[in-house]
Amino acid sequence: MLRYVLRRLVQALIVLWGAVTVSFAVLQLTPGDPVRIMLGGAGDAAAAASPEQVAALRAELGLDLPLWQQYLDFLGRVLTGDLGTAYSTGQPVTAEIAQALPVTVELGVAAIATSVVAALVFALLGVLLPGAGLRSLFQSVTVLGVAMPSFWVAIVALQLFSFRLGWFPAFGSDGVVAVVLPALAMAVLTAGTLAQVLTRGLKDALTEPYADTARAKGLSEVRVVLGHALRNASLPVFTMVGMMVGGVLGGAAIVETIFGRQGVGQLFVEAVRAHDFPLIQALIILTGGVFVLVTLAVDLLYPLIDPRVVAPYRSGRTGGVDLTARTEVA
Amino acid sequence: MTGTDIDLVRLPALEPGAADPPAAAAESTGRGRFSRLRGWLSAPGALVSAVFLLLVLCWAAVPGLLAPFDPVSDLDSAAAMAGPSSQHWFGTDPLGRDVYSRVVHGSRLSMLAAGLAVTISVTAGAVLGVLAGYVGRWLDSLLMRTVDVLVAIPGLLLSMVVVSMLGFGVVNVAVAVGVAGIPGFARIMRAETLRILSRPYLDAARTSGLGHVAIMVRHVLPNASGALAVLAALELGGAILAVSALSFLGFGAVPPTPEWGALVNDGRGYIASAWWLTALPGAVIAATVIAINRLSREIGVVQR
Repeated sequence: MLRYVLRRLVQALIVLWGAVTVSFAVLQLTPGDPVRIMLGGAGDAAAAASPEQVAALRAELGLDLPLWQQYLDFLGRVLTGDLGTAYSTGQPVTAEIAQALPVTVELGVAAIATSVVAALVFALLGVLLPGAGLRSLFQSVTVLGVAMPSFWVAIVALQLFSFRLGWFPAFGSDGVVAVVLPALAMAVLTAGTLAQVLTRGLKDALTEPYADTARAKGLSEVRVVLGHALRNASLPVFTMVGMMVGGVLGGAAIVETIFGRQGVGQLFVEAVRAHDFPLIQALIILTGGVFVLVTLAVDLLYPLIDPRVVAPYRSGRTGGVDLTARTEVA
Repeated sequence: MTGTDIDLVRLPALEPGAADPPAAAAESTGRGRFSRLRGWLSAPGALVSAVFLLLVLCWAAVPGLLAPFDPVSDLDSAAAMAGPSSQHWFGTDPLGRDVYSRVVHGSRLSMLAAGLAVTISVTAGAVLGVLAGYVGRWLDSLLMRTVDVLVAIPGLLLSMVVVSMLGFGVVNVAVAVGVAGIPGFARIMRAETLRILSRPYLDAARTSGLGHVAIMVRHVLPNASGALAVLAALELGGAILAVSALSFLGFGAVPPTPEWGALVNDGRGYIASAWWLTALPGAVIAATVIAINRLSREIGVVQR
C-alpha cells in the first residue's frame, strides 16, 4: 500500500513539473516575438510601441536572460507563488485567479453533482425499465448529450429559460439561482458521457457470473442491479468524475463567457484574446495542478472502493485493474 | 511478401465482435461485404446518419449550387430579422442575409478545418505512438510522460493556448485543435504497436531480415490502421465541436466569412429577439456530430 501511494505521489509530481515546463515553453515556442505580440494585442495605441517599451517588457518577462537561467527563474517564481503581473490589467496574476476561482468552483461543483445524478438516473432507467424500446430510448438520449455543442446548449437554455420563461437570470454570477442554468448547460455534456460509461458497465456486470448467482438466489432484477451491478459499474465512473473536475475548466471557458460569469474559464478566454502570456502561463499551471491533484485523490481513494488495485503491489503478482487505461473526457 | 501476409493477419480482426448486438447478429448470418451492407441498412439510425452526412458533404463540396442565396452579398434589408419561412428556411440575420445559405456555405470551412485538425492529430499521433512503442526505453518514457502532461490540460484550453501562440484565424484554430488531439492518438497508437509487436508474425518478419523502418511501415501501421480509423472518425465529430467552439469564442473565421461556430456567435446578441440565428446553425452542428458518431460506431462494428 505504501509503495502504491509513493508511486502515485512521484507520478503526480512529475506531471506537475511537466505542466510548469509546458507553461514555460509557451512563451519560448511562440513564433515571432511574444513581446511584440503582447504589445500589439493590447490595442492600436500600443501597436506603435517604442523600443524602450519593448525592452522594458522583455526585461520584466526575463526574456533577455539565457534560456537555462530563464527556466530556473521561472521554476523559482512558481515555487514561491509569484507568477508575475497580468499584462492586460496590471494586476498580479495570482490576485486575478483568486478572484475568479470561487465563481468557477461553484459552477463546477453544481455541474458535476448534476451530471452524476442525471447519469445515474439515465443509466438505471436504460437498464431497468420494462420494454426494450423504452430502455434503448433512454440509452440513445445520452448520445445527444455527447454530440451537442456546449455553446449551443447554453444559448438555447438561455433563450428558453431566461428570455422566454423568465425563470432564471440571464447574466452574472450573483446568488445561487444564477448558477442553475450554467451548471445545467455544462452538465448535459458530461452527463451524456458518464451515462454511457455507466450503462455499458451495468450491462457488462449483469452478464457476470455473480449476477446469475444473485438471480438464482431469487433476487429481483432491481436488487441485482442496485445491490451488485451498480457498485462494480461505478468504478470507471469514479475515475471519470475525477477527470471531469479538470475538464470543468475547459467547459467553463464557454459557459462562463455566455452567461457572463467572471470565473477562471472566462479569464482564460480573455487572456488568450489579449495575448496576456503571464496570465496564460499561470492558468496552464492551475489547470494542470487541479488535474494532477484530483487524479491523485482518485487514485488514492480507489483502493478503498476496489481493493484489487493495490493487490499486485502487496503480493508481487500481476493483475488487478489498470488505472492508466482511461478514456479522455472532451 | 508484404501483400499476402498482411491480409492473412488482418482476417481475424474482421470477425464480428459482440459490440453492437443487432449489427453483430446481422453479420453472423452471412459473411462478405454484401450482407454487412444489408445489416447497415436495417439500422435506420445509421441510414439517416449517412444520408444527412452526405447532404452536409454536398453542402461543403458545391455550396453555390445548394444555397438559394449568396451568403455574404445578398443583403435583403426589407426582410431583415425575419423568422424561418418558405423563402428563408432558417430566417434572416440583421443584415437581411439568408441564414440557411450561410450555414450551407459555412459547412465548407467547418468541415475543412475539422478535417485538417484530425489529419494533424492522426499523423503526428501515429508517428509518435509507433516510435514510442517500437523504440521503447528512454524515448517511450519521454514521449509518454509528455503525453501525460498534455492530457492534464483540457483539450479546449490546450487549443486556446496554441491559438494564443499562433494567432487567430481558421487555419490556426484547426492546427490548434489538431495539436490538442495528438496525445490521445499517440497513446492509442503506442498500445496498438505494443500489441502488434508481440505477435508471432513479427518474429517471422524480423528473422527474415526486414529492417526497423520496413517493419513499422509495412506491419505495424497497416495493422493498427483499423483502431486508428475508428478513433479518427470519432475525433472528426469532436474536432467539428472544438473548431466551432473556438470560432464561437471569436478566435476563428473573420466576419463576414460564414463558419458554423462563428454563425452561432453572430446571433448571440439577438438571443432574446431572434432565436433562429443561434438555434438553427447550432442544431446543424449537433446533427452533424451525432451522425458522425453514429457512423463511426458502425465502422467500429465492421472492423471488429
